[in-house]
Parts: sequence; C-alpha cells; structure tokens
Amino acid sequence: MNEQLSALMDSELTEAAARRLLGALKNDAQLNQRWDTYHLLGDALRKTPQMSADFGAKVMQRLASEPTVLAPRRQVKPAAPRFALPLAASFAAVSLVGVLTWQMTQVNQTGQTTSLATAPTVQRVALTEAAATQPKVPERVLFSSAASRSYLLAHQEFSPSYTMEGFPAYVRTLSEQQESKP
Amino acid sequence: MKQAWLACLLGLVTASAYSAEAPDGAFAWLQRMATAAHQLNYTGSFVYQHGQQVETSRITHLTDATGEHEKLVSLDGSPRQIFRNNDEVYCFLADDKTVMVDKHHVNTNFPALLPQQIAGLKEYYDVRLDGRDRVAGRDCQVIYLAPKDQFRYGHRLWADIQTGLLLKTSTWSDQKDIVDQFTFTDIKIGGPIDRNDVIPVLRGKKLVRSTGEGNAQPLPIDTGWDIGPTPPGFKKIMAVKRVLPGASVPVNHIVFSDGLAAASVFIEPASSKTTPGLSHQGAMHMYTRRVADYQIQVLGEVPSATVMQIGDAVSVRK
Repeated sequence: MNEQLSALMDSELTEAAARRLLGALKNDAQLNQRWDTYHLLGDALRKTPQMSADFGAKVMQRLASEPTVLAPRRQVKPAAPRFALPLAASFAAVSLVGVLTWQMTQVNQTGQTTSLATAPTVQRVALTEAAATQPKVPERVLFSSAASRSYLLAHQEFSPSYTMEGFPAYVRTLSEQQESKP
Repeated sequence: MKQAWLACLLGLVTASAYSAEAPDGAFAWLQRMATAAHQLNYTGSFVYQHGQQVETSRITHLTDATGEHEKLVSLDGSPRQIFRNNDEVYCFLADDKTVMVDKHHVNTNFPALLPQQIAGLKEYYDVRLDGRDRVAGRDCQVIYLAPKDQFRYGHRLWADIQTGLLLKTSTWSDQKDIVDQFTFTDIKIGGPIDRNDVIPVLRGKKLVRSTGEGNAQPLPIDTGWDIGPTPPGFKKIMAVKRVLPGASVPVNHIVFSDGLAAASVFIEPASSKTTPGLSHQGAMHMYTRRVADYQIQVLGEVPSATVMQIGDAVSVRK
C-alpha cells in the first residue's frame, strides 16, 4: 500500500489503480494520515515553506462551522399548465371559504353565538360548502412565549411599541401562559 | 459628539412634529409620551391582562449620564426578569439559571416619533383626545387611536397629565374586544434610583449569547425572497441577517410597520421543530408556515389577518 501511495504521488499509477486507491483513501483515516505524512516528507526534502501540520483539518473545521447562506435556491419555473387559471380561481375560492370558516370558528370559540346567528346568509352557505371541501386553514397551535422568547426579543428591538410605551412593552416578551383553573 | 448630534436631531424632529400638530393636541401628547417613557426615572407595579390571564410585574427605569437602564420583573408565576442596559438586553429565563443576552445593534431608543411614523398614524388611524381619567391615583389624558381597517388593532392610551408618562394602555380588536391591557397600580415618578438596582447580577448564571460579533448585518438588496403584497400601510422598515441567542444558524429578519404596529418576518432553514399554524397571546400573533426547505415565521402585535397575509406573501424570488 505504501508503495502504491508514493506511486500515486509521483503520478505513476494506472488510472484504474489510482481510482481504487483514491477510493480507499476516502474511507481509511490511517491511510489518509499517511498520505499527509508523505507529502510533508516530500515538502521537507524539497524545502517547501511549511504550513501548520493540521492545516487541512483546520480548513475543514472552518468550513463546517461556516453559516449556511440563507438565500433560497432559484426554482425553475415550470411551463404553466392550461388549467392553471381555473385551478388558481378554485384555490382562491377555497381559501376565501377557509378564511370565512376560520373567522366563524373564532366566533364560536369565544362563545359569541349572537354574531353567528346574525351572520349574513352568504357566510352560512360558505360554511356548508367548507364542510364539504375541507379547505386548508392554519391550525391553531399553542403560543409558547418560552419557546419563542428569542424571536419576541428580536421583534421588540424594532417594534415602535417600545418607542411609544417604553419598557412596559417588553411584558409581552416576558409573559407566560399559565394554566387557568376556576 | 454623537449625543449632541442626536439631541440636535431630536430637537428638529420634535419641533417639526409639534408645529405640524399644533391644532391637534393628540399628536403632541403622543410625542410627549414617547419622550417621557425614555427620559424619566420611575419605578412602579403594573398589571398585564390578556385573555383570562392576569400578571403582575414591577418595573424600574433610570436614565443617567451612562444611558438608559431598565428592569422588568414578574411578580407571579415562575421568576422571570428582563434588563435593558442601553443596547444590551438580558432575559432571565424561568429556570432562574439561564440568561439570554441579545445585543441590539440599531439605535432604536430614539425617544420620539419620527415623521414617517406620524404620517403612518395619520393615514391608518383616527387619532383624537378622549377626555380625562385617573390611573394609579394620578390624573390622565386619554388618547384614542381607532384603526381604519381590520389589519391593525385599536388603542386607548392614558398619559400622566403632569409628566406625559404612559400609565395605562388597552388594545382592542375590530369586534371591540379588549385583546390585552396594562395598567399601573402604583408608580413613583422622579426621585433617586439606585443604579445597582437596574444592573443585572450575572454571577453563577449560564449566559446564552448570539454568536458572532457584529451581529445583525443589513441584508443585501437581493435576499432571494419576495414579500408582497403586504397589508395596507405595512412598509418594510428594517431587514437584517442575525443569529438569535442560543441559535447556530443565522435568520433573515425583516420588519414591516405602519408607524405604530409592527410585524417581524423570520426566515430560516426549517427544522424538525417547525410547527405550521397560528397562535396568539394577547395582542401578539404568530403565524408559521413552510416554503420549500425554509421556515417562515411572522410575529407581531397585530391581528391574525395581518400575520397571515404577510406570511402567505413570502415567496422564493423567481
């Protein structure tokens, strides 16, 4: 193996053998280290100026800790199918129904049945249609100020409520959902 | 030097705002409130109500030669406190061991409403004086801000007649339901405040900082994301890339405001913790959705319709 390594360094291996050895290098840490040592020896013999011994490792480490770039990948725009317009229209209709239903569930949850009873007919029709089509409405999830505290803090920095109200505005960041018992 | 420049600018802004608003006292009161909230020394207790919940907190505010120092302590439930020391915010978490430290890089402590804020207020709210009242034993002027559409909440603000300090505020929805309100029950304005009282004691605490110095960098013009159309009046006022305390990956943070209310958009790679949906606590609404491999989170003291419309308007630029 050692002979093969030095042959690879001197570009004396056949293409197939080189490929095999490079494959082995990928998976064998010990072999990898030997490869580094051989180069180090070569550099020393040729009196090439030295970088620190673990230069490669450091570069890899730095690369790993590099923040991910947040710009999204460009998406290739697919050719618009012929039914795109009617589809968009029906989506719009479904989401309109969705919003209406959602608003009505809100009303129901707060127990104000009066406004439900006086709701115009169009909304009642919307409700029955919605039951049939089951539109996509945002799910109600529990607000956890503890989990979202860093976001609340970040938001507060730029919110004009702090300019107007002063520090009391931060109470919304500090607040915590408590179990309410009668 | 910087202080002098700021004072000069502040003078200009205040002067122009006052002259423009001379016939209408409501805007002069809003200016007075903004200045009082950041320049007066005060300490007091207040009650915060939202939904079925009531919480009591104690607040101390000190402005001296070294700047602005403030402390907010919860008096019931788990022990929680927030300190703000000029541009540094320390948030003591409920476990009483961990302190989240956030460094604010943009000077937002500007104790006055900027002309563009006043323009936004005029366009999207009816602002007027609404008689007098009494809060925490002090006489107050009530200022009423009624929204002109369903994308923002209405507000009633009680300002101390003597000093201009805000002593009570209620936020209400378009169904005229109160979504949250805070009220001082007792307050001492002026008088000496011990500086040690508003400086956090960090000994023995685990500090969770946002990594990287020079955090909160302005975003490039092309972020790769499109956000729009946003609800009427909500203009982009800030776009930064920042690492939040305790996080390892930066987020894009974009803020939209109508001059009074604001909604923040956070864009970051989605994780297993991403739960799409809508939630709220008092006036604060949060809407989370996924776009491709990213988590879009919209957060602000605005109605659900506003966070949803902004969140749904986020798309990858084609």
